[in-house]
Amino acid sequence: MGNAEMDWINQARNGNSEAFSQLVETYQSPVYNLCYRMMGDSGEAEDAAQETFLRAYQSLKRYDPQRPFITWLLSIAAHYCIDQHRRRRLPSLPLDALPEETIPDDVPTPERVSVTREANQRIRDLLKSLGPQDRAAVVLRYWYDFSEEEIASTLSLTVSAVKSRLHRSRRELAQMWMERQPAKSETSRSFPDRRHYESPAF
Amino acid sequence: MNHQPFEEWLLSGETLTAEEEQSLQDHLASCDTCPPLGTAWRQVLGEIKQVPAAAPVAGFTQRWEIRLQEERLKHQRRITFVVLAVFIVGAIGLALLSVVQKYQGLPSLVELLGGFLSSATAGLVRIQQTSVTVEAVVRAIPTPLSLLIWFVGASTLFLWTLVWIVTLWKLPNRQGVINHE
Repeated sequence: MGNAEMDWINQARNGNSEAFSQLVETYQSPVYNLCYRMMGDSGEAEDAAQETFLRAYQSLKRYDPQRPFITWLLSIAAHYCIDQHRRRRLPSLPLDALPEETIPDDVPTPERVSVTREANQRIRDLLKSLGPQDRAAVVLRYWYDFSEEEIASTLSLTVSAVKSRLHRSRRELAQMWMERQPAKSETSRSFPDRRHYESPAF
Repeated sequence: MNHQPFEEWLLSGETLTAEEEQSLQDHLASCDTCPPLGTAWRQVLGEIKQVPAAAPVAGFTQRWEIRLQEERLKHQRRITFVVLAVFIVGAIGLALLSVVQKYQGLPSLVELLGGFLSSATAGLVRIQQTSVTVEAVVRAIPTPLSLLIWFVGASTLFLWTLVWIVTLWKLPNRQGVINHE
């Protein structure tokens, strides 16, 4: 954790909300991304991210500086989103609600944007087939490179529960993919190298 | 056919020993289920890599600051409401208690009401007497002094109103939240 970040946290703990605004500015994207992957809708994600920062601000005195601040924030966000799913029993996601995406600057062609949006749509459809906790575990694993121990700590689960959830989720996602794109899967049945199955996070 | 631990190895991407790697390859060569599952998972990972991180619409921090101010105002209103409620409930409770203490032992409800009415009448008479006294005092004061008193009173009332309005305006505007909107 940087000195500036620790300064902001200490100032915010003393009631300086402007210092906390600096933290919001710094961490808005990772928190929003987690909320978006969890909720599947940009409006819901905005609300969840705002609520996450509000809860973090209100319970800042309980933050343990030994823990990375972003991990703590993501933990609040994940728990909030899981609670929201449980309360609302969210229906299927609106197909026309596309989020504000951070498109890489290097190739901003319309084709690239279109492909990215289609991929985003497919990922949203896949993720919505998972339960909220499984979804949170997958997002933390593959978007944030969290280890199983970190996921366990973030979601208040045991490591073995995380392993089990991740395995079940991967299986479900792969099966869902096969059901939706049978032709593609059949055409690429060969296994040239096991390394291809490894996580993109590494 | 038993697909474990091969399925787990395929999906988790964990590093395998040479022996495990060989047994996995042997299993894949004879299994119809695991190869397509592994391929599908690889494609899912490819999609995940392709999707960029979602980012909020510009102005997220400013919206958060506004929300924080709204929450603070809500909190202040809640506290004000609770304090008022405590005072009102306490006052009603005390009034009831005093009535009960005063009229304890009265044999009937009619007598209780009669006593209450006589107390209320006495209170009204006292108020009327006080207003008559105040009126007499006001008449006794010379006109310039009376005007001065009215002027000071009106100025004080005006100043308090001004302070109240400025406070209401300043609270949400603190930290330039509205200016960012």
